[in-house]
Amino acid sequence: MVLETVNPTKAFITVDSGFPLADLEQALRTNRPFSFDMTPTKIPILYGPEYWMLDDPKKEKSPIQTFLSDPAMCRLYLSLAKLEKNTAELIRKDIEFEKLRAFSHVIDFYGAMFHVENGRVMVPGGARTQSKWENLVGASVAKPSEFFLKLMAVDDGWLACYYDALYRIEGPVKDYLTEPQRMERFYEALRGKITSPGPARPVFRANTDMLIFTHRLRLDADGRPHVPGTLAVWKTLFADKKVVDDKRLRKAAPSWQEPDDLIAALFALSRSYIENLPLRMFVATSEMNRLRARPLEPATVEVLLEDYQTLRSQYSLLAEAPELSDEAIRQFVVAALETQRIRNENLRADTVGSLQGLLGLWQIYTRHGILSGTEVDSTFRKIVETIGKPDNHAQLFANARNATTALLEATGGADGNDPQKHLVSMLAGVRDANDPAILAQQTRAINTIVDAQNLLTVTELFTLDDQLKGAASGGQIDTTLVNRLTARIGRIQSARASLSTEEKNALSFGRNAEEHVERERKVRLRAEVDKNASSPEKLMELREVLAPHLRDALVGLIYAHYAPPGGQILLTNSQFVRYHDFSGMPGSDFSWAPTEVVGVGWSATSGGRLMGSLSELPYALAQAEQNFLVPEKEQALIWGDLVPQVILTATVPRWWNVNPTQLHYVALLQRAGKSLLAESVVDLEVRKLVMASLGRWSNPHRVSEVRNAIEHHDLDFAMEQLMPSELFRIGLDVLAANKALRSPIYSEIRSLQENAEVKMETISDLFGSPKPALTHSYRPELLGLRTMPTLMGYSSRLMAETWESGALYWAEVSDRLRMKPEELNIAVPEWTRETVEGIFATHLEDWPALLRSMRRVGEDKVNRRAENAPMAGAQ
Amino acid sequence: MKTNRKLLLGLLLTLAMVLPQGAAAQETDPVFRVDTNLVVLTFTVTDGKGRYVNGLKPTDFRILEDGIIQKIATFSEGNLPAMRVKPDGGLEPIVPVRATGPAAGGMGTAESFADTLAGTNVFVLFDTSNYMYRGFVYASDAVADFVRGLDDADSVAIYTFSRNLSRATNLTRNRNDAIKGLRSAVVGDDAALYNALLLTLRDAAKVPGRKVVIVFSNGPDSASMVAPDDVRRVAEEEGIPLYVISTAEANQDRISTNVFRRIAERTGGQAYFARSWQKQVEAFEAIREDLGNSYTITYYPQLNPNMEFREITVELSPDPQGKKYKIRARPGYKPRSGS
Repeated sequence: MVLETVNPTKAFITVDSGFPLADLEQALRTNRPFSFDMTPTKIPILYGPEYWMLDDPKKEKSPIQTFLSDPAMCRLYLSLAKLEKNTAELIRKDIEFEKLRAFSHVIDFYGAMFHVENGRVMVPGGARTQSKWENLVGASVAKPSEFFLKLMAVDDGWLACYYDALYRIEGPVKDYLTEPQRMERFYEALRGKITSPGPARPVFRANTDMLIFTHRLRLDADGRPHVPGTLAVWKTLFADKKVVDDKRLRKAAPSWQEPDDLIAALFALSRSYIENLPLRMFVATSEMNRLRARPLEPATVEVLLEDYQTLRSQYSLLAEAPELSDEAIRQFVVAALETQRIRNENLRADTVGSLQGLLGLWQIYTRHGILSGTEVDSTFRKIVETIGKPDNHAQLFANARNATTALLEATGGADGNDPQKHLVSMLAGVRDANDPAILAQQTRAINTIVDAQNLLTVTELFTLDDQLKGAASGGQIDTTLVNRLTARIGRIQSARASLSTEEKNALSFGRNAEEHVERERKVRLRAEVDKNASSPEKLMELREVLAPHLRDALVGLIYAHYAPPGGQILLTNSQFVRYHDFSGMPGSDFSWAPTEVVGVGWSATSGGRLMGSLSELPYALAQAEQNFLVPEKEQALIWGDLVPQVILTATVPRWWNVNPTQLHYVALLQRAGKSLLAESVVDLEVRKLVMASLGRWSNPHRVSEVRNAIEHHDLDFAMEQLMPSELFRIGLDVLAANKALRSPIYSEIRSLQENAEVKMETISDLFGSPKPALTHSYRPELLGLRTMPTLMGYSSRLMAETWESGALYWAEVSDRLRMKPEELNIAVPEWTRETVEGIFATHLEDWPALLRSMRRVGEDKVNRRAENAPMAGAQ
Repeated sequence: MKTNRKLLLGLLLTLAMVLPQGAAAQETDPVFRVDTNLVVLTFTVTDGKGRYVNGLKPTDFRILEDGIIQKIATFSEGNLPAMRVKPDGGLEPIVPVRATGPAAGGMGTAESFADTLAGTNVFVLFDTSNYMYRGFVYASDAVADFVRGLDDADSVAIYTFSRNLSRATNLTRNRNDAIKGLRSAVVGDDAALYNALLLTLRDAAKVPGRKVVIVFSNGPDSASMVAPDDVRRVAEEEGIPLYVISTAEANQDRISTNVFRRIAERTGGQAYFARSWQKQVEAFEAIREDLGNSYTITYYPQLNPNMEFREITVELSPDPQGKKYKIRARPGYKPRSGS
């Protein structure tokens, strides 16, 4: 029998629809009957099909056809589905269908925070702001439908956007921002004179920076907003025409008296996604002060603002270590700018690469407590000072070696004869690791990448340097070492080697990257050593060819440390580290710019590579490697911006500093959260506390879903809705609110809470996730924020950053598996990879898909362990 | 030197092949420590008219690596099981030894072991990117026909790719399962061909026995992080021929065309440019013919200080100058560092 496709379009749709075409083919080929149940599947439609056919009196279209042909209608359906159930029901009943349809974009973006209780709108700021909101909106909170309709209409959605931003935050900042007079003032500043286009008009919410601002604003001890430096610093900045485009703001700035004046100006800037540089500067410098014992001095803030455009991406490095002194920060800024004055492009790139490589190592060692106390600041300063502004490559090598030695000394590796081994072991774990096997495995993983990249090691380079110096005083040069290094250099391949002429012509590299590799590979080390054996001076000059290799050796270690699980590039493209392009495209200098992935997807390249500084290396590496993960089902929507952040949670934090008590404590709190949720089914008092806690961490829609499930005794559904981070918070909040609650778990938690090692700050450091976009730092933290939506400029990245369940959940799983915390250094990256591969999302904000996948992986681990465990009493 | 984990499975299996039968009866499990790379070489021999030459024996071939004669360890023709080559050039069945650990999987009996070495493990990598919207169903038909026509001894895996790889069907001898996987594929998104090809090669490298990867793609690549020649190098190291069927005209995108040709030829495979469904079917037919008429030998390289590209020469004893017969094999390989 011959089967032939006659109509490929219909065949395509048939396949795409899930029709079992292969079974039909097989049945036809084998002459067997084929049956397929064509019974339509009933899909529950929100409010029933009739509601969606209201503007179609002849009922000619089904709701599905209507959604397909009318994007606004489709959006309204999706947005009503996201609203708190009772609120949605109320406005649907009271507001005409056509009006609702006209505001579908506003409901979609900002409706998730609409909430009605006891017939009244629950406004941000509570009772004290009620009348102010009524004034701003022009309707009473006692008339929810009218209130929301007007809220959506005012200023083309700007008021709804402001309402949403204020509703999402909690704590003292919320109290500050919702003080009625202030709230009105800030809104006036935000709305400006021209309110169109509204914030809900673009494809993504346009108020990204306003959300970041309101989430990250903080108050000083006196209850006033924290202003980095002094108000005068900001007055000067706002008066600068080059920085602030808005004439009114420039004119008003000199007369500012209070921080509130600055905050109002920042709100004015927050409505724009572009041209809001001072707002970004404010947030970045404010973050740098957040964990510092003493805020940055005004002079330091001025320096940071002055060079923000050039060095902004480096501020995350400075923000992560609050131990850094003002002098160190200013010294860094000066040194970084000095490197830009190095005229020789190769020397500049190698200097910047060496400096950033060493600071990258310093950052990792500081993050994991290998460097602590005053060592943090002094080592940073030594590195910056020592690298300096070299005149040539020989000097660069000497400087970089001395700076590396400073780092070795600070981390206890000065006495060893194998600096590479020391640097790697500090990256792999910590001093006095409890589990040598895990440490060895981590070390192997780093060394495999170093080998795959054909990198010369720090030890080899230093040894050769010593021998070159020694030869001057009659010492011997170890020819075995020279031969080994010569062979390794010989393995560096030109990316052009196997390409045709046409491909070579189409090839595009950054101007410096290719030259860097070519310079390295053209060195005939053995021949040079032999040729110059009789001239000590010339032997010393040979150090200049070692400088680019030392840069790669240092940068390669950082790449290896952040290598994502399941990654392939570092094992396959042996030039990946060497091709890191610190210079960038002609006419620009990317030395201090954020790391970017470039060169993707064109046959005539040497493969993708990274460009810019190392500041965003963990994220960029995760971005580059994410497409090597193999999803169990096809999906793409949630992938691009969410997955790199999920990967970061496995590559940046490590588990060496977690002790079993802390791990158990975090697990107990999540179990307490589940237990309290179960109790809340029958105990109204507990229910009240659980809901109050959840209301603080979650949005109204999810709170009402959980409440509804509990009221209907559907505990499984309620449990499914809650993230591990929410269970953790419920455990903390409810047990703190009601000390009379009793159970063995609660008692154990209370007993552990007497211990200093489970202080919330410590738990946050150990089980938090890095949030570089939100906090301008890779420092892992638990912030307890409501999960953010997709936003312009970030897509789902901020959503992923505010999703804090990863480490908490893995801790709970590992506690059940009775694993040692250090074992999680191996397990968590692997579990994270499995989680990512299991995500099956249907839309951009479908973070529950991530939750489902993660739980499936975790439960699978627990079940497998249970299956493999010997039965009790078995012989 | 270090033992490369990637090689462990293949090495253990090959050691099993060359050990004397009596070893299987030993009480204690043998422990092997291996510090070498096994080279797998698949090639075809054709006469002046392009017809396959069959029935040749190991003694008919001389394998040279950088001019150094190599000792053939195993030999197989077409889909027949691999045989151990005796010192006198004769063949004998490969007998397994008892083994433990991950490499021992599936090595229960001599029959089942020989079975794993029979046939070819065919990995089909099917493009489901945006490029394929138009001809997707016809392409899918061509792949399905190819799968149905494979030798019974062959196993087939269907992988698809767009921005990510998708393992639609893992390696199986069940043709229906393979076709079900194929028919479940949907189209859309960027094309990360070389990323996906790399992952496919990594999977194929884990499987014992003979294997090939067939890429069915429209090209050009729009989303890969790895370069074609990095991927080709992996294929060379693993001894896996790449066959490429491009649904684009060869002259449409000359750079992609060159790359397809190069990675296929350098690994001992072939590139076909087949825009129409009929041409695609013919290309698959040609690949199937190749698989059924090729020879596969393995050897452990003799001492050779060259750690760069090692040139492989296959000579046919009756025709050492290659005047009468044409041998198509990968031109060489670059040894893994550390070997």
